[in-house]
Amino acid sequence: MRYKVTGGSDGVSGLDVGTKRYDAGDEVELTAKQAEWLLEQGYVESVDAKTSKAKTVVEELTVEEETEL
Amino acid sequence: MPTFIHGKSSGVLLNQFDLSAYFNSVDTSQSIDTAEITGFGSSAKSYIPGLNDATLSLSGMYSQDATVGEDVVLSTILGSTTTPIITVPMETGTIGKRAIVAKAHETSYSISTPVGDVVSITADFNASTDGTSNLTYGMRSGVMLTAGASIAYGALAALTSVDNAASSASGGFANLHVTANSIAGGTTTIKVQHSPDNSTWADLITFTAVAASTTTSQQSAVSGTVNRYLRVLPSTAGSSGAITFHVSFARF
Repeated sequence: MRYKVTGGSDGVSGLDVGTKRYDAGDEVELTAKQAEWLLEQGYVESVDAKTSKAKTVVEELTVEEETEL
Repeated sequence: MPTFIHGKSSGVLLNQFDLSAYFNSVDTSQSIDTAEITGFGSSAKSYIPGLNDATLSLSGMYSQDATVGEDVVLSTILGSTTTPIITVPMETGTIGKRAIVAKAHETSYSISTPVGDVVSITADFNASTDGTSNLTYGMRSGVMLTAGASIAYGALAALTSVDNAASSASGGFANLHVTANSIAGGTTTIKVQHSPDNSTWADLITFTAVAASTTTSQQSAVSGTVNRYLRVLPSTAGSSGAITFHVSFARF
């Protein structure tokens, strides 16, 4: 899954995964096991989860428009 | 079998100075007040812990070295509003060895000049949190995350990790002493990273970038989870030179 590096509590914390460096704002591909502690401690957030949530909101707005017509 | 060590390998890092060669004895003491809560009907006294306190004493040889000598340094910090940052590595030169990590006010500085012996000095310190955010204690036992060797600008990379065997939940603090720095052309950034698996790392502490060709010291404290493994990640935008720095970390 893809995750966005949040910067952690100080806003600037990055990650090192293998030999690659990811700074705050970067996206990183992680396994579920790798991501578990990073999610728990607030270093990353799921990009996929944010995307699906945004889609849901758009669908709800569409329904409201159809009702008004 | 317990791992005993000899005192000869200890050191003294004070602000941006490695003063190890000037001292031959370090005494530290950590204590905690206890308040008695013994009630009627008790058969033995009971106490609850109160405030933590810690002191540090240095003794050694007087020197007339200018700028970086211990007399100049200890005279300057006496009464300074900036609290000195102090690390006492118990076995210098090896990552993972224990250290006393402290921020402490100098409370006295004495020079003894006997006619028949070397001129000697003593200095006493009181640990202080100064109300710093996340800094629970002014002095704790910790570990060295660096070997204190000079590293060329092109060779700066993650250092060997230290395994604490378990994570901790109450934060901690790190001391950085940059004792020599000839890196030119850009700043040097030193981070403390943590990891639960020694594989994927997150920045725990990012010290303020060290300016080119500048020696300095910093302390930074964090709250919350500190994972099992710790390491130091230095990097630089500089294009020449080398840097000697020491990082220690103590968990609360």
